[in-house]
Order: sequence, then C-alpha cells, then structure tokens
Amino acid sequence: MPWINDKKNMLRNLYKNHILKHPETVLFFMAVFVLTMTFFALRLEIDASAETLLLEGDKDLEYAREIEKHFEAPSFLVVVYSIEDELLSETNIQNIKHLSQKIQDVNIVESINSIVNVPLLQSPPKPIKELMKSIPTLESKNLDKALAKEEFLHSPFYKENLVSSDFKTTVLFLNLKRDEKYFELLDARDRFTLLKKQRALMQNETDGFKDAQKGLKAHRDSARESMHQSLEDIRSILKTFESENKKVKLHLGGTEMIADDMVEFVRYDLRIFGSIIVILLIAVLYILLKKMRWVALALFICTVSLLITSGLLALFGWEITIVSSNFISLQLIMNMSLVVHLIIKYKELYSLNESESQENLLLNTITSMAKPSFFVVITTIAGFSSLIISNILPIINFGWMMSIGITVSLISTFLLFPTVLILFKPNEIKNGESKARPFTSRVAHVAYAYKKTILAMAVLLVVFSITGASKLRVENSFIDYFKKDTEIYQGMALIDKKLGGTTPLDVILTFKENSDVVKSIQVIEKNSDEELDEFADEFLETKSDKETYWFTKNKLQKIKEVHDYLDSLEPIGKVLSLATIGEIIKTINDGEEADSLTLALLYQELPEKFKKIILSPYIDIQNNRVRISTRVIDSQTDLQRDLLLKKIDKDLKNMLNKEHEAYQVSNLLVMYNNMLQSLFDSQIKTIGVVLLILFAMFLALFRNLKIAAIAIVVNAIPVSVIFGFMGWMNIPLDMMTITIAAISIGIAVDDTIHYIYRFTQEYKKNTNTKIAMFKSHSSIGTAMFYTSTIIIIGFCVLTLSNFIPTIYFGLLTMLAMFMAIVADLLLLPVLLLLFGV
Amino acid sequence: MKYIARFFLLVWSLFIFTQSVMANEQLDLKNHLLTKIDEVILIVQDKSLSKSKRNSDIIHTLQSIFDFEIMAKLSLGKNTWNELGKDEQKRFTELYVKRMEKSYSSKLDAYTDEKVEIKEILQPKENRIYFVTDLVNGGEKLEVTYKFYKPKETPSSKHHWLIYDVEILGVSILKADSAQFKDFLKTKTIAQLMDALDK
Repeated sequence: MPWINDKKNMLRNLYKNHILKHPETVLFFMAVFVLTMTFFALRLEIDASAETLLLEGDKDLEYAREIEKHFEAPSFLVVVYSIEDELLSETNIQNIKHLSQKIQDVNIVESINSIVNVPLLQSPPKPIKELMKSIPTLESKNLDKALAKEEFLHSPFYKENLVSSDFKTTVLFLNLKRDEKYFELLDARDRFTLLKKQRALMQNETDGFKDAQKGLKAHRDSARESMHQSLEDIRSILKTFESENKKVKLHLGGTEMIADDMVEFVRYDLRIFGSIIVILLIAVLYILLKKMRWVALALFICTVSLLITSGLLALFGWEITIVSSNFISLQLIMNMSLVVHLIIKYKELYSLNESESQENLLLNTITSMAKPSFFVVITTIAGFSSLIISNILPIINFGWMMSIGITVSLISTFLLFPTVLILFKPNEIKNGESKARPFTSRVAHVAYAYKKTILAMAVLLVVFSITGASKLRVENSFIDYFKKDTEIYQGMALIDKKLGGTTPLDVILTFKENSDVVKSIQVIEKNSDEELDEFADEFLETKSDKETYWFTKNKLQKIKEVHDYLDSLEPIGKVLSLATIGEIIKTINDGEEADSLTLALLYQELPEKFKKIILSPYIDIQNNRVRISTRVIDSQTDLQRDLLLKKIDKDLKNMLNKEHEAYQVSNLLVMYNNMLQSLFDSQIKTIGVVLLILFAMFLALFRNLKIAAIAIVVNAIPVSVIFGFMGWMNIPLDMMTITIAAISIGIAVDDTIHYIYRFTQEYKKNTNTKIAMFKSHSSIGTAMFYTSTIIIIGFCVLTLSNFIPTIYFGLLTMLAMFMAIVADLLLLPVLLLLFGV
Repeated sequence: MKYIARFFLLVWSLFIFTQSVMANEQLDLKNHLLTKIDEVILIVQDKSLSKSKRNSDIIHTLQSIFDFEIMAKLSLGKNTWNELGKDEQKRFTELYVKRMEKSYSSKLDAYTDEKVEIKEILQPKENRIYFVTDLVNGGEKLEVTYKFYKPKETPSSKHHWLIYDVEILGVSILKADSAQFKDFLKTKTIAQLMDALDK
C-alpha cells in the first residue's frame, strides 16, 4: 500500500525536519498554549443541578414549570424535626417557632409551614361558617392541645405528612422563593430557540440569542451559588440548634438539597480520588516501568492534556455535570494508555538496537505507533458517539468532552513524547531495565495451550452476559446514590418511611369546558320565556362567579376517585388534593360530604395565608384544573418507576372520560423517568450501530473481513459482560451507569487495535500465526498489560467513595478493563490462531 | 313658563309618589320577611319537634315567600327546563325543594340564638328588592342577602313578592346549584340528575 508508506514518510519528514529539529520551539509554544488553557481551565464549572439532567425541550419539563407557576406550588426543602419528648410541649412549640424564625432569614426561604402555623380545622370541629370567622393555629389562645394532637394525627392533611404516626417527628416545610428572573431569562432564551427552529436568525437576533444564553447562564451560576450558600446557612442553623437542644435530631431534605449534595459529593470525589488515583498511578507506573523519568514523562503528558481539555471545555462553556464527572479519570486512562504504548515501543526498539540514535528511535516509535494510535482515538470517538446521539445535553456534552479529550491526548502525546525525549540521550534511560521474560509471554503459552478451554470460557461468559442482561433494570433512585450511613440517606429514608415519600409526582386533572355552549344559544332563539329571560342578565357567569361556583359535586367526585386511586398504589406515599379538604370538611359536617355552597364559601372566605397552604397548591380555577399531588416512596425496594407511571397512565385513561376530562402526569419523577428512558433507548439501540461503525472502522484499518469480525467479537464480550454483571448484581442502569457501555467499548477497543495491528505486522514478517502471537504478546502485550494494570489499580480507589455512582463507576471500569485485557490476551490470539489472518 | 313649572311639579310629585309606594312596598315586604324569619326561628327553637316535622314545617312556612319553582327553573337553566315535559318539570321542582330541605337541615342544627338584623334594602329594579341582613351571634356577623322579585301573577297562597335567591357572604345558592347541575348534565342525562336528587 504505497499511500500508507507515503503518509508514513510524510509523518517521518514532519518530525525529522520540524518537530525534532526544534524541540525547544515546540515546547515553548506548547507551554504558552497550556498556560493560556490553564487560565481558562480555572473557570471550568461543576453543575450537578437537577436541571442539567433534564431533557432539553422536554415538554414535561415545560409543563412542570407551568404547573409550579399556576398552582402556587413552590419548590421546597424540608427540615425533619425528631424528638423523644412530647411534640406539643410548650418548649417544643417555642423551639420550632424559634427555629422557623431563624431559617426564615435565609435568603432563599419565602415562607415556612410547620405545626405551629398551619390552620387547625378540627380543633374543635365547628361548622364552616363559624370556623371561617377565626381559624385557630397552635399559637391561638385557649387551644385544646389534646384536640390539636388528634387533628395532626388523624387529619388527612397532616397525618404522615406534617407529623409521623408515632408523633415523634414533624416537618418544617421551607417554601422557596420563586426565581422570577430565572424564568424571565429562560423565556427570553427559549423565544430565540423557537425562532431559530423556524428560520435562520438575523445578525441582531443571533447577538440577542447569545446575550440571552449568557444572561441565563450567569444568572443560573449565581443562583446556584446562592442556593449552595443558603443551604450551608440552613445547615449551620440546624447544627447550632441541635447543639443547643440535645434532645432534638434534625435532618434537611428536599430535591434542591439532593442536587446540591450530589455536586458536593462529585466535587469531593474529584478532589480526593483524583489525587489518590494520581499517586497510585505514579506508584504502579514506577513499579512497572522501573524508571522515575518514564513516570514523570507519562504524568507530564497526561497533565498537559487534561489542562488543555479543561481549558477547551471552559471555553465552550461546557460544565462538568454529574454524568461527565468521570471525564478526568477517563481521559487519564486513555492518555496513560497512549503514553505507555509509546514508552514500551520505544524501549522495545531500543533493546533491539542499542546503538540507534535517539532521533531514529523516536522517529521509529512515532511512525510505527501513529497509525494504531490514530485508530485507537477515532474508534474511541466512535464508541462515545452513542452518547452524542442521545438528546440529553449533559450526556451529549460528555460524549463531546471525551471525543475532544482523546483527540487532545493524541496530539499532545505525539508532540510532547518525542520533543521531551529528544532532549535526553538514549543511554540515560537504559539503567535499571531488566530483560526478564515478560509476564505476557506466559499468557501467550496459556492461550496457545488451552484454546478450547478459552473458547468454552468465552461461550460461558456470553451465556452469563445474556442471562444477566435479561435481568437488567432501568431505574433511577436518588436514595440509592448514597450510602446508608450518610446523613442525606438517613434524612431521605426518614421522610420516606414516616412522612409520606420524597420524589414528587403530580396528576393534573383538567375539566374541559362545556362544548355545547353554541347549541344553547340556538335554543334560546327558539324558546322565548319572558319570565326566565328577565333573569338572564343576573345569571350571566362573571369571572368571579367562575371561581366561586367552580366547586361542583361532579368535579369533586372525579378528584376523589383519582385521589383514592393514587392513594391505593403501594409505592405512593402521601396524596394531597382538594379531596383532602373535602375529607376534612366531611368530618366537620357530621360525616356529610361538603356541598358546593360550603366549598364556595370556603374558597371565598378562607384567609389568604391559609388558602396558600390548603387550597391554592391544589387548584387552578382559571384553567379549570386541579393538582393531585403525591410523593413516591423512593426507598421502596423493587420500585419500578417506569412501570408505575405506565400503570397510572393506563388506569387513568380507563377511569376518566376523555371528552370531559384530560389528565397529565407531571413533576420530577416523570422528568427523570423521561430522561432515563430516552437515555436507555438511545444507548441500547445505538450500541448495535456503534458496533457496526466499529466493524466498518476495523475493516478500513485491517482491510480484512475476518479480522474485523474477530475484533468485533472480542470487543463485544467485555461490553456484554458489563451488562451481564450489572444484571446479576442487580445494579440498575441509571443516568450514571448507563454511560458505562460507551466507556467500556471506548476502553476495550484500544487494546484490540494495538494487538491486531502488531499481530498482523509480525505475521507479515514470519507468516506464522504462532510466532506472531508470541512476539505480539511479549511486545505490545506487555504495554497492554501495563496500561490495564495501572488503570485497574488506579480505579479501585473509587470504590472507597461515599457516592454510590462513583463506586459503580470505579467497579465497572475495573471490570471493563479487566475483561478487555483478558479478551485481548487470551480470546483474541486464540481466534487469530484458529481462523488465521 | 307656568305650564312648564306645573309639568315639573307633576313629574316631581309623581316621582315622590312612586318613591313612597316603593318605600311602602319595601316596608311591607320587610315586615313580611321578618315575620317569616320569626316563624322559622320559632319552629327551630321548638325542640319538641322531630327533625322531619321541623323541616316540613319550615318548608311549609317558607312556601309562601319562596318561589321554589322559579328557583328550580333558574337552577336548571332555561334550555334544559324547556326540554322537560310538564310532569317532569313538576317532579324536578319537588325534588329541588326536597334537596333544599335536606341540604339546609344540617345547617339549621347548628342554629343557636342568632338574631337577624336588616342592614340594607336595595331595589335595583322596579320588580326586585334585596334585603341585606346580618345573622348576628354575639359579636360575629354573617351576611345573608334575600333576593325578591315580583312575579306578574302570583297565586293567592303566596305573597306578591317572592324570594328567588339567597346569598350567603355573597355566594348565591342558586348559582351554586346551577353550576352543580350544569356540570352534572355535561356527562349525564336529566333523568339521572333527577334520580340523583331523589336519593
């Protein structure tokens, strides 16, 4: 293939005449570039907010935002307050009041609902008209506390919501201020996004779009910062309070806090494990390469690549999200692998001819490794391309990040490796090397001697993978992200078990407007009835009438039906809706259901502050709809969220008459489920496509159908083992683990390419597969073995994390790496031996 | 000039006359209303009566001052009302009265010793008079408005002004019922509505 030789010569000339001729200049420009990029890299941000995980342009997200706005259902945090004493003792009431006052001062808090200020509607039960005159709270004079306790324990509103059934735990709901500015900026940006979809933007519009994006991002950043600060403030208030009141145990909960905590966990892991991995890598590199200079060179190149990549990411405005938090470790792996391969090749060439000049050694290393390394990079990019086709922004960005990262690694490795080494003499690196037979040669013997056993093992692995993969679950459970001994887990578990669940799920029921209005007008013309006509003006429905007379038995019955249905579902904890108020009124009303007049009176006369607590979050009269709000018990084992949502959807469809009522399931559970399902679809469906792309690439690289097929089989096995392992170990596919498929393909493919490339080269020399195998094992096999060992040892550190996704990531990467090296050193040579080249 | 002055005088006196007729009518109606309220209060305070006797007595007392038929018609809406046959209209009116009786019976149970004070009389039209009253209990007041209209013809058993709606704190009983029925009839038939009222 003359063109390959041409290219090889071109590359050789480029290095010989330019790069290696002026290494100082290259290094100088690299230094300037790296410094500039470091400056940008410092601005790289971490954002693990829930928002980053949601689908861009997800209709459910828009809907949820609209619901939040119209129903006065703000996001909230909860403070779980547990005490062994009597919850309603005077000291305790004062304590809760005092705590509320302190928290109220925190920036983000709009209002606080607690046992102290919620309306007591049944203490004692009074007719509605009397109740409306003055609704008591725990602070009212002459309040019968025994009755209040009864109400808290039995009121459908408060039981297992505001207080636990053992009356030892209560909740302070901290309603958060609605960030109007954020929504304004979001609207502004979305207007441009929409316009852009319809037509090309004009210059001033493009500028406006950019400004809107910038404004939104800047605001989001500062809002995130202020949220974090406020959470810290609340935590410190809680801590001080706990130290002053030894009998009280406090926990902070709520989705905003989970998001913030996840960022903190990710940050902590990046900081702590990042450095431990580096230290471990140094140790393992030193043990394997036996020379500090190699270790320093490898680390130097990896650091430079990471700085450049981070700088580029910051320049593009891509943030590290919870999904891409592993990008640094992954780039480290891949870059390390590239460098180690170059080092091993260099050492191999040197041991073949010790008198060779440094320049020639480097030129030979670069030219012989350029092609496999280039293919390693583009196949890795192909592996990550499955992430790019998902429509989840952080996942797409993660795909791009990895693609950019690996490209940067390739360039900086191939620039720095020769330019740094040319400054040293070859004999300086000779000391300390041993010529002992490498471990991989022994592996080659095993592969040669136990072909059948290896094939049988491979078949067994495939069976293991298929059976395991069939057990795979797609599930996203926040509580499972944290270890049981962490504070966040305990808080969430407490809310789940005693206070009605954590993840919000709403059913919005819309009552369609009467469709026969037109018909009525026609009838009026036909039948004239003077007496009744005279009243026509008086009974025209005004806007305020619509509100007052909205409550009809029909509607309330439907709401109750849906409410009771949701309440009957096991994974659903607390259900709150208008039906809850209906229930309360029923008890006030001697067991009779509230009639529309009573409800109309209640709606009209209830003081605004109480309306905000018990009515407004559940009704949007203007749009003729109600919200049945529930919380899902996240900690329930074997909870299948997607199935739950599908069941609710199916049952509601049967329960409601679509001509008169419409429904929509909304809120966080739906959005995360959408994200996860979309991720699962794109990942699982595209994995086939990715394998096909890889097959095409192997074909282009090796120009041999048989070899391409062998390479694909060898690569498919580690990936399928990962899925099989997850299935058998009951590790669910979630937004973190789902990327492991792409990652393991990306990792596994490297060694296969290096090995086959070397094997074919050796085969060309000897036309003997056995010799080719032994030679490949002792040369490239060593490099493969070293890189895998370095990475496996490095990544076992991650299993010490407190953040379960990090542990899984560490574990699965180790397994992927291990399976890849085993497949490449045992199965790949066996297949090559059996089927030939 | 003289004629013009005389003409104005005539118009003026006519106006005064109608005003005083109206005032007289209002006064008459007010007394009638208060009498009826007193009658009802007497029935309610008579603890010897059974609940059902008490309720039927109250309805009987109110029959002469309430126009349940127009209330039934208005609550159902003209179109639906006109779709009904004579017998159905009769049945619906009966059921409507029965429902009123049932629904306000429990509210009467809560009655203690409230007093009714008329605080304002409005006459928005010639044939409408509204009495804005306060139901007073200790220092607490509950505003109840009785809306009267003057039908073209009234049977001898009835007063010539009849109540067609009552508002409690501005919430109209009639409008509440009307909204209720309208919503019910969106999905169900009038026969089903009558069955529901009959339960």
